[in-house]
Order: sequence, then C-alpha cells, then structure tokens
Amino acid sequence: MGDFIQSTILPAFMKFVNTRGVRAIKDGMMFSMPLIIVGAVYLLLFQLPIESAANFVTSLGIVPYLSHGYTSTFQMTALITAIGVGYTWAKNEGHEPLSAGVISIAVFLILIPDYVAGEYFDAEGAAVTVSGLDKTWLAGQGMIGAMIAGLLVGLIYSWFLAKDIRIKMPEGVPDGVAAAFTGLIPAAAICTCAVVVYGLCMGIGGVTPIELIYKFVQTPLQAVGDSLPGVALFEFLIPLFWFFGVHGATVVGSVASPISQANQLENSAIFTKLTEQGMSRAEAIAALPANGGHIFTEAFQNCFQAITGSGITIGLVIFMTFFAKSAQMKQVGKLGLGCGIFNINEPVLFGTPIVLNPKLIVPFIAVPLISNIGAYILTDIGFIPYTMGVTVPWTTPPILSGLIVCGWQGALWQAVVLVASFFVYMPFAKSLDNDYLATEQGAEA
Amino acid sequence: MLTIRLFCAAGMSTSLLVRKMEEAAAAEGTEVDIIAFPVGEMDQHLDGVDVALLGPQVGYMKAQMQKTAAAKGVPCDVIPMADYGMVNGKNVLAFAKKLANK
Repeated sequence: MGDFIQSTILPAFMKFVNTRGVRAIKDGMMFSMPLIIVGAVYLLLFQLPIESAANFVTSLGIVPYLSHGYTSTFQMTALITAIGVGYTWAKNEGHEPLSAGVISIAVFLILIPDYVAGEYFDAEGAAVTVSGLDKTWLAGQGMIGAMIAGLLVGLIYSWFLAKDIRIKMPEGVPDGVAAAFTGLIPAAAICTCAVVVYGLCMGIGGVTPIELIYKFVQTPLQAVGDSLPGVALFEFLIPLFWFFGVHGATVVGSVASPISQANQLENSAIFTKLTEQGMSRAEAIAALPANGGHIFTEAFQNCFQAITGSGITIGLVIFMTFFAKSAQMKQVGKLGLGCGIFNINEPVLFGTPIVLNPKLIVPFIAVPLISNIGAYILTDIGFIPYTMGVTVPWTTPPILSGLIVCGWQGALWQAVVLVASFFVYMPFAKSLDNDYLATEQGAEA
Repeated sequence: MLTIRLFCAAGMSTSLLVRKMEEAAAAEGTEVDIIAFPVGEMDQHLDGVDVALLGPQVGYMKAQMQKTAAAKGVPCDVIPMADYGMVNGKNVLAFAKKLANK
C-alpha cells in the first residue's frame, strides 16, 4: 500500500502540483499576501471588538481614512492576483514577466463590467458625477476570474515569446527600447481576444464573462470548499502528504487557498456592507451566516489548521521535551519547542521523525481533524463567530491568533485543541520513546 | 569561502538550520555565506553560489530545481531527512561541501 502510494499516486499528484498552472497560482497568490495582512490590520482598527476602544477610534475621526486604506489594499486582491499569476507563469517560463503581469491586469479589467457611473456630494453639497470600477469584482467575487485571466495570459504570452513572435528592432536600438516592444504583439492579440469574449458574452447573453465565471466556476468551488466534508478532506490530506515527506500545506493549499481566500474576501465585503447599513460590529458578524458568509476562510485556516505546525504537534513536542526518556526524543523536543510556538515544526516532522513513521500517523492525522471539524461545527452552531476579514500571518502563535480572528471563543477552542494534542499523541509517543530507549541502551551495552 | 543557499517552502524552517551550519563552520574554521530562501525564488539567488540545497519537504521539486540550478552551473540536491530534522549543521555542511567539491 505504501509503495503503491509512493510510486503511483504521489508522483501523479506531484506532476499536477508541478504543472505550470498550479505553480503559477500557488506562487502568484503570494503577491497579495502583504496587502491582505496590512488591510486586515486597518479593518481590525476601525472595527475593534471592544466597544469603548471602538468608540475612541471613532471619536478620533480617522475611521474613513482607515476604511480607505483597507479598501485600497484588502479589497484589491483580485487585481493583484491577476498580475501575480500572469507574472509568475511568464517568469517560470523564463520570459520577461512584468509585461505578462501588465497584460493580465488589462484582461481582468476587460472581463469585468464596464465602468459604472455614480455621484457623490462634495464639501459644498453639490453633486459630482464620477465613473469608476465596480468594487464587487476587484476582490472576493473576482478571485477565480482573476486567476483564469492570469493563467490564460501567462500561457498565451509565453507561447508568443517562445515562438519569437514579437516586433524585432534593428540592430543598434538600445535594449530598453527593444524590450518595451516585446509585449506589444502578445498584448494586442490577448487583449483583443478578451474584448471579443466580452463582446460575445454581452451581445448574446447580456452578461459579463466574470459573472459567468463566478456563477459556474467559483460558486460551486466555494460550496465544496465551505462544506464539512470539504474541510475534512483538506485537513486529512495535509498530514497525509507530510507523512510522505511532502510539504502538505503547500500542495493542498494550491487547491484550497484560492477558495478560502475568495471566501474570506466575500465575508469581508458582506461585513462591510452590513456595517455601512448601520449594523454594529457584533450584529454584522452575527448576520454573516444569513447573508451568504462562509465558514472556511483563510483566517479560519490560520487559526485551526496547522497551529504549532502541520499535525498540531505541540502535544508531541511537550511530551518529548519534558517526559521522554530517550536522548533522540529529548533532543527533537528541545529543537521543536521554540519554533512550534510560531507554527513551524519541520524539525519535529523530520527529526522525530513523523515522516514515513507509521507509529505516529494516527495522531498526526487525528488532531488536525479534531481541530477543524470541531471548529467548523462550533462555528456552524454559532458558538465561534464567523470570520469577517480580520486575519493574521500564519506564524502568529495560537490563542493569540484565535483571539484576534474570532474572539475568546476561537481562543478557547484553540486551547482545547492544544491540550487534546498532548493526550492524543501521548500513547503513541510513549511507545516510540520506549523503542528509542531500547535501541539507545542496546547501543551502549 | 563557501557560498551555500538553502531553499524550503517559505524559507522559514530552514533558517534554523542556517544558524547551526554557521556554528559548525565556525567550529571547523570554514568561511561560509549561508542564506535561506523560499524555493519559488531560487532562480534569483544562484549567482556566485557554490551549492544549492533543498529542504526535504520540497524534495518533490528536485528534478525541476536541479534544472534551474544546472542552468547557472550550481550543484543542487535534497538535504537528507534525518540531518534536516535533527538540525545537524555539521552533517549538512559536510553534505554541502561534498556537493560543491570544495
């Protein structure tokens, strides 16, 4: 069975993970990460969970500015994703990447609805008519469309350059000038194709391409990812990959992250809309489930998925550090304690080892499942609040991350999981410790 | 001077190993320059490098990364799991030296 997985299933999956498209999505999505974190901090500041603190921020009069900062970072994620995916694809193919990113942003904008007009009132109360982009599509709802735009641009752009179809400058023209023309033919061809697609969709169906993608691709994906079986499957697969020595979070993340990120951005958009309609922070969070909010978000993942590292190994580390008798386990425990607090556990995975060690596979898979299924159900029944956009870097220590993202209820569940980790790992770790001790004593004798 | 670059998923877990390798190098009097990066940025960090090492968790990308490294004439291989897990700076340094042929 193990051989079959290693020789057949794993290589096939690795082939998928290493395909150009998946790599472009995985690495391309990283570009929006800083903006998401920064935007989430603004969101946290103007939507503080403690009422007196929130009133204080409001009294300072800076809420509109923070909100502006948040909209310009967090709520631009789809735009950034389009650039990132197109850029990464071209880069991986060894072509000039920025042109691909630039074309991707144009294609994404072509796919979304035309500029919308609106009016606002200036300081003197006079109506000013403006036109702008429909924000709806620039973040959550546009995520999958943005990825598709980036992927297609990356593919076609790289094809043009690989075939050397570009405007060639006569000799003596400076490189910089020549490079400026590199993207011209691909840009013309790709953008024109996108315009034709937009024209066909609008002409025949009266609908924009992004709306079709949202309805027929993104919504079904989100529904699967946001279900209990979907979440359980992701959480089961991450440790399973790690068991074979493969970075599970990266591999599973290439499929799960687009969904969880889109979910998170949508939650945040719903939340902002509800607060703009006059709801308080708490009311808006409570109203998220009824307004199409999602449980499985990136913030949810950062809180319950790989706290103290994949497999939630803190219990194992505590056992090894303070209770193990074998030198090997004591040593790994010491190495793993410091980084475990920040959700990093490679020394534990490879040093204990957990990788390819059938003795620890049961708790290694069970603890994350307990954590995530529990968190999902507790959110579903209304104990843990829905996440509303506030998120933390994945290296944020547990309890703290739970507290910031979903209040004391989230922190409490994390605490329960950390304790459970110790008791679930203990019997298995004890048995392994005895094995090591016997070997070590045998070596000495 | 031995210039080593380590690559893992995010460049974080490997930084622990960097410190241990530097300690091991200092103990044996080898001059080293070691930095860890995310594997996705490997192509940008190969100039003037003697050897590129991959964390075992990204070992599945070995073939592809070896190609990237070979294009710049840099030898590249996956760090053995046990040495990586025990953060055995001495062994990994020896592994790097052997690969770099220095």
